[in-house]
Amino acid sequence: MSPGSSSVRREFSAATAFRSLLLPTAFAVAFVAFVWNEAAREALLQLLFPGRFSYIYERVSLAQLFAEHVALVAISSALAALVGITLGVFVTRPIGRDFQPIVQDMSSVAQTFPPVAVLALAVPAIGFGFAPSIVALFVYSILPILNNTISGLDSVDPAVVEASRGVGMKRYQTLLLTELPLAARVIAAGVRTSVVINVGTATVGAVVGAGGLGTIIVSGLVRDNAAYVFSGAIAAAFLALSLDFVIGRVQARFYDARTS
Amino acid sequence: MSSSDNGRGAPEKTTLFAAVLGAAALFRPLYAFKENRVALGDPVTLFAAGVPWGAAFIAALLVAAALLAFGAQRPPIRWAKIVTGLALVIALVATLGVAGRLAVHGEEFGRVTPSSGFWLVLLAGFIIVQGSLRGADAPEALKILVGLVPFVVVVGLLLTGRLDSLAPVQEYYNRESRFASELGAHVRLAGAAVSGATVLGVPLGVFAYRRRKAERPVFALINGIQTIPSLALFGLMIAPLAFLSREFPVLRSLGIRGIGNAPALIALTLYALLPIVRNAYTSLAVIRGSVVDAGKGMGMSRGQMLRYIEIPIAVPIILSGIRVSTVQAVGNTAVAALIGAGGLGAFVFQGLGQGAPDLVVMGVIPIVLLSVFVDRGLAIVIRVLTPKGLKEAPL
Repeated sequence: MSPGSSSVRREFSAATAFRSLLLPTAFAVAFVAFVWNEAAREALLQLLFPGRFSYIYERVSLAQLFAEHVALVAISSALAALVGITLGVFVTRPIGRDFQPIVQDMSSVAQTFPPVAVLALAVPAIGFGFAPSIVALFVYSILPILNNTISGLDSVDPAVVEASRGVGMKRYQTLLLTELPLAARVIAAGVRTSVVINVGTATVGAVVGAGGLGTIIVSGLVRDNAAYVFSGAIAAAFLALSLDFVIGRVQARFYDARTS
Repeated sequence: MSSSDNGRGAPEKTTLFAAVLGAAALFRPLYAFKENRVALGDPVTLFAAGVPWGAAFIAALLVAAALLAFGAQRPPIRWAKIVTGLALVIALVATLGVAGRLAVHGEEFGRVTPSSGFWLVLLAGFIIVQGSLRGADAPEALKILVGLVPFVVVVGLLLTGRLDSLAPVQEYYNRESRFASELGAHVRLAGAAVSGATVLGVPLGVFAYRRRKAERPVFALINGIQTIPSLALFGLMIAPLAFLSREFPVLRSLGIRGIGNAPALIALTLYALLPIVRNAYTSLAVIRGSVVDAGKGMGMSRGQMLRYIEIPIAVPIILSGIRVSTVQAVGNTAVAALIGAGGLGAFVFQGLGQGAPDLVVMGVIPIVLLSVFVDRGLAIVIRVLTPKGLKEAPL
């Protein structure tokens, strides 16, 4: 359990760092050109879909839709992380321990709900548009974070908690300085799952008026324009893959119970 | 289990919480009355619904649940709570049916939509039943049967026409024949995708395990596929398939086009791969452990090892992967309706497009029930097939 073990793994040469970042960087550059440079995008789309299409969605720019998508995901995921972690901490404390079984049961039932169902039900329940979609995305995103917070905190060795109490830490200090850091990797894994699902669900959000990259995909489907569908699909796929990559990197920096 | 598992007078918090939640929800609207399909609706609370005995009974059940929460956690009290919760759910649905019928009486296009009060009391009932059932000392099979009671009663009420005034039920009647065909399409599409993913995924998992070099690229690829949003993956399938269909008339005559079943099936199959490949891989890792040495030590032949050790261990692990894949596929198939693949998602998107929330609810409920039943059903199958020595926590 030495805290030094993770720094051993972080020892790498400049060459490997360069190689491991080369591909992601190349992808990112190509992607930025695709989303923000309409001329480059049009040239590529003309190559892929020769013929009769209109290549550039005229109502909103792809960059704008991308920004909306990021906003949908960022706001709902941040709220979900806040609520999910708080709730997970609550049901693992003595005061909330009684609620843990029912919270776990409910979240396991709720996780079998398809995300699109939650999004669609938001319309009769709270209405159409950006804000109701945020609420739906937020509610659905809580589950993986909550589950992982509970299992992360539960997996902390009770002896370690007792030792922290023994050296005079208060309960809140034990939570903040011992338990949460030890559970951080598992919690981050929950956040990662949640964010990836969220990007996907937000794409479908276009049909409930959320805006975002789904807008151009749905519009392409309706107008039978494969170039629109492709533009939105590539952008959404890139967003999901890159968020997964970045959160994965962050997650890898936390304490790993299996190797320490 | 519970820390209040004693007679010291500390209330059982879960049931108490549910009873308070339910009581608060009684003051929210039970349903909204609509003159026609797209009307906004007037909210009506339980007490104003014209069913005094139903309201009184529901209120009494919530009081009973609250009082039972203060009782000791002994089996009779536990079962009393379970029965109270079941009665609450059934009384609520029945009251809504009766109240709805009173409300629409004489209105040709009138209908009622369940509102927040209904859903919250239903949630309270679920918490009371589930919370007490979980720790109850009863066979797993009995618990499952008890959990099914509300479903059976609701289906009975539906079939005997007692819930006909509910708007989602009316949406169903307007599309009765299409409902069956879309449900069939949904099940076929999800089923075909999971079957395809099983046929491809199990050998792929075995391959990834055997060839150490292939492990990373295989998992990187299928992890990447899972990461891509479903709508985006469906979209990405369209262009190449449209191209192939244009260039090769043979494919077109097989019904392969840019939209419809072909792209949906391919994308859904790709999605379903990850859990199956991962679990096939894991099952081999488990088998290659010490159990095999134990078998060899006992003098088992290759055939005996396969029959008594490898298959019994591998099958439940692979089935767990199939379970996760199937639940996902049921949800993703709903999205596939957007590329013209049909299925229950068609109702949902149609409802969203028409601004008819009740049609959305009518489409969503069977999708959710399908997911939940597939999930629970496969969980039971897996439990039955898991060798005794490997059994873990209850369902």
